[in-house]
Amino acid sequence: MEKKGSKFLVFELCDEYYAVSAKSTREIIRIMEITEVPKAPPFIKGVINLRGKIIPVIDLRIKFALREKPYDEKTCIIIIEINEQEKIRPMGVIVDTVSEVVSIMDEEIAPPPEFNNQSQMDFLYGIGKIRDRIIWLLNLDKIVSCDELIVINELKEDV
Amino acid sequence: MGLDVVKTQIAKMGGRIEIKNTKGQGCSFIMKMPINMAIIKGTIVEIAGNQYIIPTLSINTIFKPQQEQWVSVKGVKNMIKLRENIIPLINIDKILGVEDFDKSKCVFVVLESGQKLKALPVTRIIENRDIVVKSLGVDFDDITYAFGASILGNGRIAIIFDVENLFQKGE
Repeated sequence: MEKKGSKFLVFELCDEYYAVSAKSTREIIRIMEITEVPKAPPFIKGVINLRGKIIPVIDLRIKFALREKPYDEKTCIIIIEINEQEKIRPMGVIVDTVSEVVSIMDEEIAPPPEFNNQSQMDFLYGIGKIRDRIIWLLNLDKIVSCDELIVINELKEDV
Repeated sequence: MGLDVVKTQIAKMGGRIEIKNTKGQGCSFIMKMPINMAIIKGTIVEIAGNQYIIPTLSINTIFKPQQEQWVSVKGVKNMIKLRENIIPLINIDKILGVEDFDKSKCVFVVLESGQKLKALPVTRIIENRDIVVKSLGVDFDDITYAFGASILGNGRIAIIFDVENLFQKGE
């Protein structure tokens, strides 16, 4: 019998591993010119021109309150599809580097730890383990709206 | 009230209304509408290193002020005199959150909305061209100074100003 698993795209941020579902990933592109939108929240870096479409780009380092790093040749933008109120729209996510696509079995995914404020947990889908590496599995559908900053910091104290 | 609704709706479509009223001769309302909603004439300007687009329909005059054209109010130079008009400035540096924006070296784009004039300081004027209006998307709903954005010939994106909103922000 075939085991049930899902594919995830693993990427690095500050030497930590995160992943998004490969299903919601559209493409990976190199860092490109980003047009700044003044007065937008700091983690929204601006908009890019992806073959004639205007797409917002967020920087996960800023969103997760990690130390900022200048972009280099390894920096990537992952174009993901966000499903918000039955509407699918693309969004660019800036990460340090994309490492691999892995298959994680459902039983290998640990549920996210519980917190007092459950609504802040929406972005964290679970915790996966690959070769003793901890991978934070993200659900980016609510990445823009939820205030995960606090959560990420709490998590670090926990693990 | 009804007139205001018409004005807002037309402004949303990128048009504007002019009123000519002469005593005893009636009143005429002139509605100016863009022919195509998706393509407008835009003037591309640079403000502190970034490019922005002003719908050309809203531009009244472009000029570089001389020293004597500045008008101070309470010790702050925030008005400009052009012919018989005293025109208030739009504090674009505050709206965009730009620091150290030297207005004295700026070119001024006088914008027109309704019957009012306001001057927008810009670093330089780049060009005037037809632009395709695109939406910035829901993530930027709070960015009220932007009407949308457009992709320029060189692939860069420039934000289109919402002139009506720039007028309201200054008041």
